[in-house]
This record gives sequence, structure tokens and C-alpha cells, in this order.
Amino acid sequence: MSTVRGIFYDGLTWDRQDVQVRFDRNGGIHIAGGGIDLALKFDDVSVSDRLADIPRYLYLSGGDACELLDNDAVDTWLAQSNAQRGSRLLHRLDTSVSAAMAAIAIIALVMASFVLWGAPALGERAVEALPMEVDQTIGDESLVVLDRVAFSPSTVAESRQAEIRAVFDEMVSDMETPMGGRLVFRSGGFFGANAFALAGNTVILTDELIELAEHDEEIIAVLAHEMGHVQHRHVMRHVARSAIVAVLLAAYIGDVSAITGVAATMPAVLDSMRHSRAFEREADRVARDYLDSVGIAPSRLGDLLARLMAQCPECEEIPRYLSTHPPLDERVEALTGNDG
Amino acid sequence: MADGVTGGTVPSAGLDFVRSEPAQTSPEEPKLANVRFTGSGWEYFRIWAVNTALTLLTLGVFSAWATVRTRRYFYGNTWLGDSAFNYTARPWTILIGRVIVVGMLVALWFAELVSIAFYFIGLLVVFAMFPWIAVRARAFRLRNSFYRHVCWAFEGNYATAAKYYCLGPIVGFLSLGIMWPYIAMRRDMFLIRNSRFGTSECSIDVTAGQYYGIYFATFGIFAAALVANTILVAALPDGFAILLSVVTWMPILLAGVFIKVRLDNLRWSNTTVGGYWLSLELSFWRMLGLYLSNLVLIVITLGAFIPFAKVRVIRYKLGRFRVVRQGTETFFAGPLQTIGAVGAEAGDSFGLDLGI
Repeated sequence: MSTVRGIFYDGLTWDRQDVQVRFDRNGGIHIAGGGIDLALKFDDVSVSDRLADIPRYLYLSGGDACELLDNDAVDTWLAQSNAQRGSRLLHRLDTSVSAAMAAIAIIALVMASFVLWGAPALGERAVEALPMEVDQTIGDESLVVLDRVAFSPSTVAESRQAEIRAVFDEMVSDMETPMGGRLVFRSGGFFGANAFALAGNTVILTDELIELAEHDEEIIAVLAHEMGHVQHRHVMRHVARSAIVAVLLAAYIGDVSAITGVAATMPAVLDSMRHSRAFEREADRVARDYLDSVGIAPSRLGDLLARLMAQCPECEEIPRYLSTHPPLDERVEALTGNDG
Repeated sequence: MADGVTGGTVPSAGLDFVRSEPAQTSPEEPKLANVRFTGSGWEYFRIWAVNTALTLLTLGVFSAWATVRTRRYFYGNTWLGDSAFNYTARPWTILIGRVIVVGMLVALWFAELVSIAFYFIGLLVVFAMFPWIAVRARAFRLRNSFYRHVCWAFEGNYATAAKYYCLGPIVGFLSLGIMWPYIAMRRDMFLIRNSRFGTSECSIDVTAGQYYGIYFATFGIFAAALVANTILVAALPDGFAILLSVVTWMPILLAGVFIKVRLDNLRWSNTTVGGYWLSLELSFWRMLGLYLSNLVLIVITLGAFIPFAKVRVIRYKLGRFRVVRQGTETFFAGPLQTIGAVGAEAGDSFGLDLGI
């Protein structure tokens, strides 16, 4: 038998009445004080669950309620009747440091496996399910945007363009990509010497890169690399993975505030860079296989990359995890090596 | 965010007010009460960890219990005078509501697979249902919010809600945003004036001019920040991708915090519940500081700081609430189930508390 202080509300007004609540060993409850004198049975009432140390309420069938001011005494009383086992277990978890640590470990494990394996797998599925016309539409739209913000029409002579296009078309038919390939010449603007693969089958080659190349085989090597991106639908896979990771992180962080959306983008940015390095390696492999098959030294791609790097000395100093491309020496090694 | 936990219900009133002048005894003198938050970051961290882990392990089923536990924690630690708030929703009710929402999303997905026309019909249905969801969610939330065992209620109806949640965005868009502040004001009026505490009506007294002022100032801040941001981005050396993503968010962050702080202050400081006046005085700089430091700490701790961040923001916001009363008043509990025509047929069979 125990007695706790309580505050009684009659369910009609917000007036408080201090009362004493007595719990009997046989499950009986007595509420007394200020003209109130109630004798109740355990089955007539419901008690709100224990949560931290917030006030709990004893709800009476008639709409009255009694706030109970001693959570531990109420728990002892409920334990006697074996009531609220679930919420008492939760309360034990809430107050245990080791349970909190275990919970954190579970959260970290689930999140990490989702980001590392779940999101890519889901992303692959999503991309596989998408018809390739979607890739093409997205790619065409990005070209329109790029044309507006960065590119201008190519100034490379028509005959030179035709030369490169002929080699490219041959490469596309050799590679037997289901979506084919389309080569577009542009003046690079602030992108400078560069080559891009867009969603769909479009590959862009900038005038500056053609100029930078010292041998036509270097251009072929770059185009083969870009066709590797096209063949494996890298742009779409990248978009799908990033979107899935972003949704997960938004769900995890989301209820704190819209502002922490900024925080949500950061792991997504890091993660997408990691993926993008993996994509670069895959495209390098495609390029190497193709170059091998037509008898061009795969080191041609490395030569051009090295010259590109030489143009921007600070690029080498970016930490690995911040870089969207694998380190150059690693790539050159993989391009020239015979394994893998 | 704080809206998610306390928005509809914090402004309330309490007895046993501290007098503004300790020596003053006149009953006509305005009396002040502060709102206090007694929760702690570390305590909530443990609850949050258990909630999140169990939600992940049960593939989301536990999320209904997690929501109830979170709301109860924040309500139960929000004190006005000598009483705390109380959230009484049952997890099963919320779970059923969520299952229905997920079912609708799956149906929408299937509709898209069958035919794009079905998909757009589905989207239209969702659009038309949105006011119903908004009304229903607020009614559910307030009906389960108690202070001193007196229940809050919301009686907005679908037709009026449709004006603000369907027609409003269309008009706002067609007018190129010029009508937006006015629509926002009318929507706030709709939400507050249809809310009750017991039998006492809530009221709000704001003008369109005040809303236009805040929106114009926000636009100015956004534009200025955008210019500064462009200069900064140009000045940044290549390869600072992380820094760049922070800088890119700056205009949205500044404008977002500004408009939230100013609108919250305006709304709550002009709201009355029965004979009680509320006031909220959030400082933009303080709020920005809180958000930025939370942001940094959340990133550094890979999210483990989230519960602490939430407690910090709530504690600050609630600490800036004042409740002023003129004379004395007792609040009477209304009939518990008056939630208006909308959703009444569904009764208490499911509750829409999406936790947003």
C-alpha cells in the first residue's frame, strides 16, 4: 500500500484540487481530498505510460482525471499488477546508458549499410526499370542548359570534326552499346579542356581538349572513356543513388528543422563523390578494353590526363575524399597495367 | 520544427501567475507567466536513440510509438505556471493513419505503372485531399493536447481549408507571389480562429501590411545574401566543394531563419486565448546562432547531436514566450469529440499525425 500526492481535475473546468491517492495491495484505488472521496477498482481506470519523469495521469471512466506526482511509486504499484509491461521495458531502455549505446550502434550500422549497399542497389533497380528514353530526355535538357550557361558553338573546322566523328562512330559500333552514341562539339567556356557524357548517349568534346591533345589517339582514348560512362548509364545511376541517400538523410534529420537540410546535403555530397570515383574507374576500364582491342596504347589517356593536371597545379592537393576523380597516378597505373 | 512539437498548443494560459509587480495586489493589474521547458538534451538523446533504433528494426512500425513518445516528452516538460501540457494520442491510431497514407502512395505508384493518365488523376485527388489532411491533422493534434485536463480543439472545415491549401497556392503562383503574404495571413487566421481551448475561442489580430512587411524584408535579405554569395563563390578557390555547399545555402538559411522568426513573433504576439494574451520575442541573431551551431555539431557528430539540437531550440523558443492575463478567468472543458464535420465520420478510428 502506498500513497502519492495527486491533482484532481473534474473534466469540466481547469481547476485543480490537491488530493491524496492511495493504492491498495488488492488493486483498489482511493482518491481523497477537498470534498472528493472516490473508491475505484484497478479495471475502472487507465494510467498513462511512464516516460522520463513527465507527469502521468490516472484517467477515470467519467472524464475526470488525476495527475500523479510520484512516478516511481506508481511504477511499483503497476508492477504488482504486472500492468504496462511494454512501457516499463521501454522506460528501462530509455534510462540505460548501455541501451542508448546499443541503439546508437544499431542506427549507425543500419544507416551505413543503407548508404553503402542499400541505396546503390535500389538506385540500380530504379535505373534498370527506367526506359532509356528518359535518359535521353534528361540528357537533351542538360545540353540545352549547358549551352545557355557555359558552351558556345565549336570553332573547330568542319573537316576536323568529321574526322573525329568518323572514329567515334566506328568506336560506337565496335562497342555495341544498346543506346548508341552521339558526339557533340562545343567551345568549352569556363569548363575549358574537357569531355562529358550526359544522361542518354550524348558525349561532348570541347575545342580546348582537341587543341590540348598531341595525338589523335589521345582523343580516341578520352572518347572511349566517356563512352564507358554512356554504356553504364553512370549519370542516371549517380542521380538515382544521390536522390535515395538524400531522402533517407532528410527522413533521419528532417524533423529537427529545414535548416539542417544543409547538414543533410553534406554526407550526400561526400557519398556522391565516392560513387563518382568508382564510376570513373569503371569508365577507365571500358576505355582500356576498347583501346586494347584496336591496338592503341591505353597510356594515351593517361598522357592527356597528365597534361590536363599540369594546367591546374592546385588540383593534386585536394584530399582524396573530396575529389570526384581517383588520383591520377592510380588511374594511369590501372590504365597501363594488365590486370583487373 | 518547433512547430512540429509545440506549434498548435504551446500558447495557453495558467493559473497561479507570477505578478509583474511583486508588491502589487490589485486584481486588475496585468499578470505575467513564463513558459518553462524542463527537458534535458541527454535525457531526450536516450529516448531518441531508442526510438530511432526500434523504428529502423521494425521497418517503421515503431515510428507511431516514437512520435507519441517524442510529443509526450516535449509536452510533458513544457510548464506554464504549475502545470505541464499533456499529449494523449494513442500510437495505434497514428499507425493506422500512416498505413493509410502509405497505402495511398503505393496506389499512386501503381497508377503510374498502369497509365500516366491514372497517375495524374491520382495526383489531382491528392491535391484535393490536401486541405482535408491539413484540417484533420490539426484537429487530431489539438484534440490530443491537454492543459490541466482541458482539451484543445480545431473546427476548421474542408471548404474553407481548400481556399487556403488549394486555391491559395494557385492564386499565389498566378499573381507571381504578390498575393502570397495575404494568403499566408488568411491561412494563419483560419488556423488560429478555428482553434479553441476548452470552450474559449482563440483569436488573432494581424494586418496584411505586417505580413507584406515581413515578406518584403525577407526578399531583401535573400537578394542581398545572393549577391554576397555570388561574390564569395567567385572568390573561393577550386576544390572546396564542402565549403561551397555551405556558402550556396547561405541565402536560403538567412532568409529562412528571418522569415520564421518574424512570422512566429507576429503570430503568437497577436494571439489571444480567452482573456489571455500571448507574446513571443525571438531574436533573429540568437536563432541564427542556434541553427548554425546545431548544424556544425550535427555534422561533426554524424547526427548524434540531433536530439540535443532539438532540445536547445525548444528551450530557447519556449523561454521567450510570455502569457499575460487581464483579470481572472476559468477555462471550461468543451465536449471532447467536437471536431467538426470533417473526418467526424471516421471518428477516432485513425489519426493523421505525420510527425511534421
